[in-house]
Amino acid sequence: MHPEFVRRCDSVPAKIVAKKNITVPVLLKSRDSGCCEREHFVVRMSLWVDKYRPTSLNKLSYHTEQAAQLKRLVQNGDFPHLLVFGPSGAGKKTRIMCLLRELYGAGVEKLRIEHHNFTTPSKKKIEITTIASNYHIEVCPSDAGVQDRVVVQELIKMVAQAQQLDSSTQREFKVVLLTEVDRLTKDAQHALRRTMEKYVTTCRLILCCESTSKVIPAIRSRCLGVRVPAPSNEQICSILQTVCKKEGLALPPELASRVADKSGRNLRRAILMLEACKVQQYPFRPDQQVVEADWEVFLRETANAIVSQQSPRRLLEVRGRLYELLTHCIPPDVIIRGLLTELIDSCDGQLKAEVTQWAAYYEHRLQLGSKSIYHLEAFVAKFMSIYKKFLDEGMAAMML
Amino acid sequence: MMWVSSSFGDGDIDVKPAKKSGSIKSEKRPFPGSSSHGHKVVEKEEYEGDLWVEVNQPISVADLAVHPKKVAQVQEWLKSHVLSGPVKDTPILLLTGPPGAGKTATLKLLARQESLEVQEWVNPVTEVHQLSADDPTAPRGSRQLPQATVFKDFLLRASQFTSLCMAGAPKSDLKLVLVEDFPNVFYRDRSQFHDVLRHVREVGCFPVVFIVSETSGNDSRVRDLFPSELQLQLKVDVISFNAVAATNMQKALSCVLNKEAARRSSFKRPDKDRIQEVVQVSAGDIRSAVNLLQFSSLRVAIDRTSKVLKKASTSKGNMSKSTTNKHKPVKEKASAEQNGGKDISLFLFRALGKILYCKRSEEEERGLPPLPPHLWDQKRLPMLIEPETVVHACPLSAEALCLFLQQNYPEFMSEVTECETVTRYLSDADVVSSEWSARDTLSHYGVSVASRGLMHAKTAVSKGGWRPLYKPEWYSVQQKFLSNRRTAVGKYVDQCLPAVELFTQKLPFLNQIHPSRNTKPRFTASLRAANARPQKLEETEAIFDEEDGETQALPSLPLQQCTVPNEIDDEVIIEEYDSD
Repeated sequence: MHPEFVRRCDSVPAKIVAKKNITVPVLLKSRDSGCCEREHFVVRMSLWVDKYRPTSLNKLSYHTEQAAQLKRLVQNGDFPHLLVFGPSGAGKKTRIMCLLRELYGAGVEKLRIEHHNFTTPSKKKIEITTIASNYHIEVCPSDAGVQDRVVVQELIKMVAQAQQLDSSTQREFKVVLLTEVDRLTKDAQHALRRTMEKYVTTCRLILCCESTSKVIPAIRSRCLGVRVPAPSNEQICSILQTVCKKEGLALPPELASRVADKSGRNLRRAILMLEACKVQQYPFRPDQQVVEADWEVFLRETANAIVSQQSPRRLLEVRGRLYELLTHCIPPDVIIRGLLTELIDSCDGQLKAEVTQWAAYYEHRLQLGSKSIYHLEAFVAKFMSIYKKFLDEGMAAMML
Repeated sequence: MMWVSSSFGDGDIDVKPAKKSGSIKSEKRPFPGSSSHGHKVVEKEEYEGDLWVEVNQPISVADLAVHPKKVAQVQEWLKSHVLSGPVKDTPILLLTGPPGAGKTATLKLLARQESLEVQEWVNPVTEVHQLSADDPTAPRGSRQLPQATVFKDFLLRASQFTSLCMAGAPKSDLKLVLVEDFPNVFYRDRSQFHDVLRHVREVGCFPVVFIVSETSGNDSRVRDLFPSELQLQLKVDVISFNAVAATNMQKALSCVLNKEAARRSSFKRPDKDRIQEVVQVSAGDIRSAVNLLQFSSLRVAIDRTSKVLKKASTSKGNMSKSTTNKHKPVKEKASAEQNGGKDISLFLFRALGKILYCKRSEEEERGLPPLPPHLWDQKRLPMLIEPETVVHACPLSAEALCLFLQQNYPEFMSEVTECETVTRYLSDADVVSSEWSARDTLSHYGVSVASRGLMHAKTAVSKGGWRPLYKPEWYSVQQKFLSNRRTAVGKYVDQCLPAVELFTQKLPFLNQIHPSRNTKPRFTASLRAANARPQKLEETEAIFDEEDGETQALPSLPLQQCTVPNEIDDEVIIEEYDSD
């Protein structure tokens, strides 16, 4: 473990991915606050999602061709910066971890949590949490908000300047894994571009994001793009079956396909749903209700409330529910999108287009403005007003 | 001709309410009704330089503009604590209230009625001692004790011993110690003051009265000097005065005018409108009201003379002014404010009410071209108030005012289409004011857009009836969001997941899979519960501590895009250039 990596340690549990449900002492050193070494004993919570996550490129169950390509890429001993992108729950992170394991061996799975403190030139303190092994460091720079540029630069500099302990047996470079690159500010992305070139000898970057549309072209062209498409429903079904087989459970194919359907081709969600179903009822029944996330249910109720009545009073009630969602850390753009999908079901053909257009309009507003509630509420009010007009016209036509 | 002449005639121009430490109190503020009072009247009959506030101090309880209940309270206290004779533990009374509410006048008047001697602390004049204490070159006499020590000595002595019996002075065994000026040291170092108080409480035997003026802002002087635990400990009685009510003020002013008229034969009474205006402008501050009245009556006289000079038609004179009043109330008010009226900041409650109720005049504005037919539904009667004036008078930031409007508008709308218009404008306002590089300038436009949009959206006059107003929930929502996020992210760092996916995918299921490890608060299921109303806004609440939400939100780092613009400050701009 590199002292460079460890700035400060808190009593946050360290993580051990490789050996599940086993407690392993982890030594942490602190440089800033004198020398304090602590041991953490952690029992890992065992969700199926984590438990059955493939750890090597050979064991990946879909996109096998791509996995083979990645393997060849690493076998050459070196690889360019990577930009891994694809929808949520498609297996980007799994592939990256597999790749790292291929590269460095089992050592990458001994992870530790570190807290880094950075000070911006304007004396603002930034604290950021990273997850690192001896060979790589993972960070989500967008956690730092507008100050992400400092994090990107300082962190990479820090990693790149520290030499590998034993370069004869190990690779000559370390890997910095940046997640949510699409959420980085433009400023940070440009900084990233410069840093990328500067330290190319000692560190490789793996960038991870959902869509490349928000990544500046300069970065895109410096990376090898790896697209990880979402698994198909059949692939999800077969994985669910494998998981159940390993757990020793019998999964009716109907239920599997319904879970896959509900998951929206998001493997993580599918496996989580399956496990929630199991907690709810086992043995499985084919017509069993598929458990959904509580906020999705809440959002649907909200949409129903909007459709059932359009009045200032109801708007006030809906606002309360929106606040509730926001306090549960559901991002406003997710809320507006969720509302739209729910609302559109109860709309007529021509209304659908209009409502969608307004949803897009207010989602754009959301990005421009600073207080999400204004725009969420504006969308709800807009829908109410359109829908009420539509109903009134329908009523008038009926009367005639 | 003189370039500068005193507006008050040839007397001193020192406008009354200015309190200067060091100036000798008794000169500025004579004890009301002290024997010199009648004296003055006789001697300086035609002399206009005296301030009416001083000359016309109230002489009886009936003259006081203070609410009778408060007067009774003070009287009660005096009876029970003072008139019973020297007691063991010094009773302490604290009078609070806005300036010009009649705190001092009430106390002094009552003390005089009960023939109590009032001994008042006056901050000593020279302040140079601190520097010169260890400076050998300084003249010898300038060396003084620290103010706090002097104050302590004074207070202890005054509360323990009666004053010496001077020839001619009315002798009474009972006395009262009054502190209105607090040595400045105590604002910095409160514990010192508290120690003095405790000491006095133990050893003193004469009652001590403290008078602290509160300003409408979040003035923490009372809280600082007399924290509630101290009040309990020392059994401090608190009587808080309110600003003088308009009717009482009017009575008091006419009383003053009567006296003036009796005093000087040449005196011209200002008209009723003028008095009304003075009452309105002074916002419950009797001292400034009397000053303003004196000043404005002076102006009337000058106006009249100048008009006589200018115009031949002098018959109107005074009257013409009062008739113009009606037509141009705004302009007139501005002039009154120029004339030394208080800068009244509207109470938040009233400011919001003005925008939300949006009163419109009955008749249409003439001289405007008619709207084209497709805009007929946009037709509105002219508004009675400009939202910008309200915003200007309101002590809130533009951003916070928008939030207040957003919180409260649905109650005032009858149709959902109106709500739609309001929300659209609020959304616009938010976009306008969150462009951070131009925020300072644009936030005013933002609040204009919001308030005008709201007022325009309202088609129907709100049916009467009082509706409660609420504080915006946004700040608390934001705080909760941040704390939830921090705890969850902190707890599940090892999940290696971006925050969004953690919250939308993993956590909800984690809750269902391991209900025992429930860390995420559940959704309140029912509509009603989710709609638990926020704090009500109190009518008198002038300043909303908006800082609470903001300052606590700022230091935390992990933020989503919805909150990022809040964090942006000037520092960011600077920092862009000092790297690489």
